[in-house]
Amino acid sequence: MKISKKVAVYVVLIIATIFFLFPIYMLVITSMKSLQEVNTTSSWSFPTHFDFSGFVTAWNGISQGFVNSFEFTIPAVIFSILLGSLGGFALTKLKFKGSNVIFMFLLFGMFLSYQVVLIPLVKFMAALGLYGNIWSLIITNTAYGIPITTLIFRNFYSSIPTSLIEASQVDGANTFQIYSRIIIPLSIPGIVVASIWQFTNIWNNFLFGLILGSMPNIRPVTVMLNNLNGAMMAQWNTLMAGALITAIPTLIVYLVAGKYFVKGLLGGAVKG
Amino acid sequence: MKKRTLVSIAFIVPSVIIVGIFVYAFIAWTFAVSLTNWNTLLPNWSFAGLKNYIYLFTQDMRFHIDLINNFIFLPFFVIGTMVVGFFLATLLNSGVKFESFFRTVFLLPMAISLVVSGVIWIWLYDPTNGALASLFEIFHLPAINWLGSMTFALPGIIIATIWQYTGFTTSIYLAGLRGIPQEVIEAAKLDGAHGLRLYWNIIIPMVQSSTVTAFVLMVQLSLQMFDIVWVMTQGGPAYATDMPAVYMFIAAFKDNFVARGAAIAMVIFALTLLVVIPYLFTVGKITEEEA
Repeated sequence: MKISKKVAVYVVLIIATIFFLFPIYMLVITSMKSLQEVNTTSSWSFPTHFDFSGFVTAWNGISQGFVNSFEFTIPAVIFSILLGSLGGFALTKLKFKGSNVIFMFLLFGMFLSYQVVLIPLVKFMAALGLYGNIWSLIITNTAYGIPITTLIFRNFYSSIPTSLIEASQVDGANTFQIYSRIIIPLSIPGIVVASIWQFTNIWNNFLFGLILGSMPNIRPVTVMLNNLNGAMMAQWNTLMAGALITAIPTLIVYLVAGKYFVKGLLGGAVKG
Repeated sequence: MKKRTLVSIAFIVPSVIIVGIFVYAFIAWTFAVSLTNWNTLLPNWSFAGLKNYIYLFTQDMRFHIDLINNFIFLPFFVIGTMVVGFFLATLLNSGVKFESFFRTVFLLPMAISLVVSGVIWIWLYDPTNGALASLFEIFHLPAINWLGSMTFALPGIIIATIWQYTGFTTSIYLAGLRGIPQEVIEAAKLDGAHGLRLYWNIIIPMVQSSTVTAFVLMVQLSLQMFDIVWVMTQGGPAYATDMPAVYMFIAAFKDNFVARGAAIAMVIFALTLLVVIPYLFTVGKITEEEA
């Protein structure tokens, strides 16, 4: 009885594993086939010979987007982390009247349906003269990252003992010194969690790129992949190669640092 | 005012200003646009009252279809991700070997863009050579043109989104299950609670906060579902998978019905608030108790 139950658990877990991995398997094997080989009934089978022509075609189509995505994702990750860390510090260690109200004010942004800001966003960027400029994507992704990074750092700093800060206040350190000399060095784990979460979210974002990335010189890779999808109908090897190229940076981050990714996910979800 | 308060303000003010503009002012802006006649290429701020909303709810067939699609999508997606997520979390929490491997696999889709997932699923659903067509052929079932079919396009998108987000609910429930003290389970077992009764009477009530969190997040995702629909079907065939968020995008950015797009956005926003506001109040209470 006990053994059969155990077997059943593993059978279900393996079925779930197949369900979750199968699309990824198809993504990888299809990307390495020739178009001829893709167009057979044996789409499941491993490539009989490796053909990377799909990668060449896909890279020609989306390489500019790949570079663009790095160009706005990295600054936006840095800025949103800096703001989140400053805010989280103020909310936990400098508790002031109304700090909870401010926290709720910022937290609300996490539950925003982006549709409700899209029209003003485009007009605002145009008014600033930034429409079509990479800074429109940097600023936008920074702004909508603030709620989650503030939450992550607020939760993280809650676990740093206040006595540590009080001791340095006695020693005569001012708030900026406390922040830069004590809090920042202690923040490394929080920074890792927040940067992995922010990098994944900003890289994977589609909607902001769709409305702000009108020019190819700033268009994100996700938008270029969608355009490739429209242009390369049924060229499955090319499309899968493009999809794989688009997914590679976040997949690597996830496989290397999945533990921290989950922390970011739950930092925004459970602790509230 | 104390110096310390001034410093705190200096630390938090940039975030407050940015969120104030990009969230609150923008919402107000969208609401203002939704009350105008700006259904033209050039801005037109003349006041239209609730005209755009009245049009959506009384005359606009497309919007009616979108709401129906969204309310079909929502329960399947929310219940699907939550039930499967809870079930998988329970299995992962039962002391299995390779637990971290399974967990990594289940959460993998969350690490990739919905655009990537959308493109992969289009290929899986391809009626000529796609993986599902091949699978159906093995069982001598007729091939389905999933995304080209009025009947199967929406279920096709539901399956793809459940694939994407189930790892999220699994992680939320796993954290909840890990938070139950072992003594509570032992005590319940000593009292004779086993199997389903143990789950129904002890475990499910104890992961209630995970359930609330997962529910709020999944409902919110449903109401603003855009990326994967846009990539896979653009709302087609013939509006079979059209959603309010898709219509909003087309109205505001393709067809120059800016005010109508703003009104749709406000409807999506209002629906989201129905679940988010109660949630934020409970979160607010918890943080006050902590403080």
